[in-house]
Amino acid sequence: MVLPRQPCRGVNTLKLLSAPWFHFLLMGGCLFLLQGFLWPEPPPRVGPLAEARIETLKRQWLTTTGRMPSPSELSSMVAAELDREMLFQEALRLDLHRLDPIVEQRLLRNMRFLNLDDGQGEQALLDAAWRMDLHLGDEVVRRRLIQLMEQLLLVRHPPTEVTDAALRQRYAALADELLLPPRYTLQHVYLSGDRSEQAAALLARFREEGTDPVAALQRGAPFLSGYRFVARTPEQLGRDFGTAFVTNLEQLSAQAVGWVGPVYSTYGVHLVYLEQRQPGRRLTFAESRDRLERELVYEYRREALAAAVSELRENYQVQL
Amino acid sequence: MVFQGMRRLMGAVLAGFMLHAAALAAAPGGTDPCPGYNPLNNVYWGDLHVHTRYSLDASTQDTRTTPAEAYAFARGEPLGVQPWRDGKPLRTLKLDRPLDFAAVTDHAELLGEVELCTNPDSEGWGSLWCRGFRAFPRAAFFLFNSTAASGRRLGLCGEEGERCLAAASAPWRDIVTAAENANDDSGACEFTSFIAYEWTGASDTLANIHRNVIFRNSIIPDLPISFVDSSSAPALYQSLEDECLETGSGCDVMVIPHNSNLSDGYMFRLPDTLAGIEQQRRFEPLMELIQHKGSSECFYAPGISEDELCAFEQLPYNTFSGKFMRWNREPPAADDGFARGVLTEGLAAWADGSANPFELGFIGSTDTHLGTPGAVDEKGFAGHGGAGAPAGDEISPGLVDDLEFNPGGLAAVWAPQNRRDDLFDALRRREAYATSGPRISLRMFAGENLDPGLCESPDLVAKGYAQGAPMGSVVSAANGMRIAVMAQRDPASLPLQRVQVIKGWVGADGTAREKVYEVAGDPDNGATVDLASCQPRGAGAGSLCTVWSDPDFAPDTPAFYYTRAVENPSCRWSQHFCAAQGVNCANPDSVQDSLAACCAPEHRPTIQERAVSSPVWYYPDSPAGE
Repeated sequence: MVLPRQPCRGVNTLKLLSAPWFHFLLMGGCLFLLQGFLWPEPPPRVGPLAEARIETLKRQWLTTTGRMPSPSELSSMVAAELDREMLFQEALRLDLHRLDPIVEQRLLRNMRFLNLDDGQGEQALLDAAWRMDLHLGDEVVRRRLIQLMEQLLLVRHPPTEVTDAALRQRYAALADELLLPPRYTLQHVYLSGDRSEQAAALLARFREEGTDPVAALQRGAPFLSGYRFVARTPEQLGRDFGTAFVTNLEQLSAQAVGWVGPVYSTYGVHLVYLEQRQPGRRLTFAESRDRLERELVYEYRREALAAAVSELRENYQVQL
Repeated sequence: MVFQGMRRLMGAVLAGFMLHAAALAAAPGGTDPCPGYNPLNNVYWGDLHVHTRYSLDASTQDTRTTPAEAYAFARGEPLGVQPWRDGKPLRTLKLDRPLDFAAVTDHAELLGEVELCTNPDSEGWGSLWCRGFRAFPRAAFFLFNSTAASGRRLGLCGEEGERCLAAASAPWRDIVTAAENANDDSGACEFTSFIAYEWTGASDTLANIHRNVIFRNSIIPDLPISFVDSSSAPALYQSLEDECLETGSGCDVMVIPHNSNLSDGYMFRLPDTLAGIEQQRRFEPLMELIQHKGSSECFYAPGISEDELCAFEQLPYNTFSGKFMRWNREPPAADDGFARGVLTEGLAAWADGSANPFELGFIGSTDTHLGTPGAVDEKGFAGHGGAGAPAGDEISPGLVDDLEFNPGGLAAVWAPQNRRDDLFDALRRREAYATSGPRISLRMFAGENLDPGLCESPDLVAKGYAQGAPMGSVVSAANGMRIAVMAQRDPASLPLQRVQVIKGWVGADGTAREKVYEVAGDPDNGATVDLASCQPRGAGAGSLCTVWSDPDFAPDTPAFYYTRAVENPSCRWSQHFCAAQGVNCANPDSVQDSLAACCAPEHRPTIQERAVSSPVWYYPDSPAGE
């Protein structure tokens, strides 16, 4: 029978507790924890931007707006650029550049373009690209990683769901802007410029004889855009006839349906048989819903991303 | 095999959506004729080459336009574009005239489809691609501050990985959804959108062989087939055969190459086999002739080519890499892939006893990287981003885009109504044409029996179809070729100066031959433009029409014919800009450095906007309408 060896264990424990090396370890551990508590590792730093980068931002602004940015615009641009830099650094910390197939393809292409493919296979080529920090200097890789980070942040901070109530609220706010234009259904007889003086007489004859618009076509000239236009808005008619035609037609369209004109256009003169004029009106909620939803989805996404980036900023030391 | 596995996964994601799409397709109003239905065809205007924020080369320019916003822009809604301040755009663009159709064509290779591998037993688990997906939990852990030791490998992604799946598949799904939502199936038929993407291929020499893939309807493969999947044009066709045409699901697709001007001759390679030729013909009925990065119609060099109009928007290099590496830059050459050369090469292949692999019609588009389909106006061009003058507080701004680029063109399609099937069919039969931006109406019929008095008849279109065949057709004309061409100016642009017929054939000595015939209007009408104010001067025509007979017709020689309607001269976008800045090149000392491009020798201040029809082809003994 084997006796219990408890006393021996106790002795060993005491021995351990009194061992100098144990004291050393314990003190070391405590100091380590204390250091972490008293002097925590500083958060990663972003910025300030290099002067050359700021110049590039100014140049981009200049070429797209035609003027130099104001001081507030510049500081806003710099802040946005620092956010992008932060997202880029965060992506690098997550090793996304080693994990994303698009980045890999881009780096492989760069290596081959630089004639650095020594035939060792894709993995070896990628390892070489990473060793050379090729991913740090490639704008496409940078933007790609920022996109990935934005996607991940949106998973963490999903945008607010668009509700029916929010849509209705937006509709009420925009009701005066959500308008449906009038629509015209018409046929026309086209007379080229050299026959314009005949227009009034011919129109009078059409009215008097009640000429059928299809039969009347034979009195006109060819018109490539066609002869009958169904339920077209003024803007749509403008595409085929020009804006002058539309302005002239709208002035005449108070008349009852039937032959109207002559209506002058960029091409010449038109004798118009107005079949129907459907007046404009406000859009209903159902008709506006798609547009409003699209706008709200965009807004909510933008807000969600801004909140997520702001939260991430707390983990960084951003220097303007 | 890896891709197949991934596609299965993505298929599951999209299955719900596809059901929705199928329901939309079958919705009431989808089969009744549209209000403007015209069996003789209306012209519809569109842009089949549009990039949004999902194209990395767009987002690197800070383009934030989503596919849905791009379609809304095409329909006439305003769109905010860069630069941004506090998340809000400083510039707003809006089309004066909305488009009738559009397709968002983001790069498939850069869509951000982080491929998903949820099953450790799957064949792709250990692959390069799957490592990306398996990293998501780690990212999730970091982001969510949750425990890494939870044992839930897919902590971030949900129990079944559904959240990662949703996040990763978002771009393509978003693109498809946006196209589905934008397509007007209400019965009003006011806008058509196509599900599409760009296959961003490159030759071994990095020359451009890019192609847009346009689907007829909402029945599509699970994922776009990218250059990574299929690394040559024939491989792309084969994949599209396997995953679309041959599935029996109703999937249909066409491929439209673009920027053959930057292809160094690699865009159109003669297929080795008859099957290859048939595939080429089946998939590629059209090419994009005009877009932001230049015209691909024809080559021009002073003293070598007679057709001076070919200098229009010709780039100074023959590959895109030549733009950035001047030491590697080569000027364009006749055999770089310009349409005329390619069409003639096709005739030569026919003469050698095979079918013509390159019966290509033409369209234009923008290739916008701002997500602004149809923004083609020269005046007020917003640029493509990236270029311009060095900054400084004291200097004036430079050009908004690289000098050699332009706003791009439009696709015009003759179709009975504005619906997907109708437009797709018209594109496939090449009853479509390209413009450099203006909405010039252009019709063309060819045949031996066309009535010479056709232009006087209000029924000319009906008679044109009855007596001949429209643009894009193969025509029978053993007794002589007649071409009826009618052009009508864009009411919002300039009058027309002239209409031309361009004929191409292979000479008896085997060389490519071409001839440009002036058939209507007056090339010497005296119209000019004042470069200081950009005001046009001189009269032109509102419309031009003629029935032309080929005086050089040779019944035993195959040939192609296409027509070109040309506007009076106008200011190029760069000249609009330079004129607005008051640049006077006669006094070089007064020109600031940032505006030096205005007076550079390569600056072409004047252009002549144009419409270019798809060709018709004549082969000896070919039956009409073949």
